[in-house]
Amino acid sequence: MKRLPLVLLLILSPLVLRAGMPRITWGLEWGYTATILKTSQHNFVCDEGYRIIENPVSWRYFSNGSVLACAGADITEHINLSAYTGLQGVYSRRWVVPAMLRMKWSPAGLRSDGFMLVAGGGLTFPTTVLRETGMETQAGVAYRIALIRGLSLDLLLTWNFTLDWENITDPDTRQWVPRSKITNNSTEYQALNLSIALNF
Amino acid sequence: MQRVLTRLFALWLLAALCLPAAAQEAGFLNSPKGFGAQYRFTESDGVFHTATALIDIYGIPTSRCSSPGIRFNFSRQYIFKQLESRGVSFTLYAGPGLSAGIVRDHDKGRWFDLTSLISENPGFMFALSGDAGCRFGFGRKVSLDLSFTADAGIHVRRNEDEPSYAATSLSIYNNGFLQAIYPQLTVLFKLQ
Repeated sequence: MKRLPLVLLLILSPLVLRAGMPRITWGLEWGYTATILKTSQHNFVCDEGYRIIENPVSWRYFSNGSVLACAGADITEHINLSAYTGLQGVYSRRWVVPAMLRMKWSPAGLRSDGFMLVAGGGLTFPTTVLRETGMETQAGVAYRIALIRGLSLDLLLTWNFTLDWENITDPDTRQWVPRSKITNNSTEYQALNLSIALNF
Repeated sequence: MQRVLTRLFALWLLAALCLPAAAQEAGFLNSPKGFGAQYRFTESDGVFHTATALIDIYGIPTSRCSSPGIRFNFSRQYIFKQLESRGVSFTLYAGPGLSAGIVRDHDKGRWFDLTSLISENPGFMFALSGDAGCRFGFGRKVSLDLSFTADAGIHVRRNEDEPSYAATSLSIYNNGFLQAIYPQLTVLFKLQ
């Protein structure tokens, strides 16, 4: 994990050297997230002393929102790499603070109108009920409208995959199961995100 | 209540389908208040009109209620200044309007207070509104608009203290003032 920034730097350095000094960019992004699928894997010992292994799948539509700020650079004429953070809703009473790296690739060039491919990922930090750091990846398309030099508007459509943990409830006592009795606990959320972004 | 909301939405949808013929621009409105659609009618003698339908998300980001409200606004806007700088035109405007809808107000908690649940008791709001904003034109099909709206009005809802009677309570629509500081950014697309 500690080598990741170094590896990224090595991968990106030829691009930067070829393009000269990258243009620094920053922006704001907000949007609507429709979470549609929640899958969980629980393996724990309940209060009665027997082991429960369950993999519930829940298809449920749940509306959320996100507000993000970003800072990054146009590392080439067609590729932008930015770091994002803000506040993001994942599920009912699941708000997280993401720390994410995202790449945008625009075949037409970042300073012109046109479609872009978007992909990114990073960590999510809990705000209230969650106790563990999660992970998020996203991929999708965007349409860029270059308003003036130094200001553009992006309309984004992405698929978000969030890996998370949740508090497991003991079926007998209706209390949360202590961590010492949990062997496996993971939850994945899949969501469709529609966002608008202003880039400066 | 669901039936009233459905009818209001159907009415707005019908109006939305008819309005583009007269509208100069249409767009998405984005704000901490909620999100919605806005139609901007053709400007004449420094005056134009806006029609807005807003999905009111009050209480939803803080998980205090699960369904949004809806409100509509119609405003008459007076342009009082137009500037141009570096290819961007700035149109400053302000004007009065009327707002109405079914929204929540008067909950027992504020901000990110997750322990107090908002009462699932939406009510009707009627208000006189005041709007002020600036439209940023870039000589493109797309323009941006930053505005603020205050609503001075009333909120009529079922009386929470008398649940067994069909009693109503009437009070000032608090959010009309409290949310006046929330900015509204509208992305407008030219229709004509």
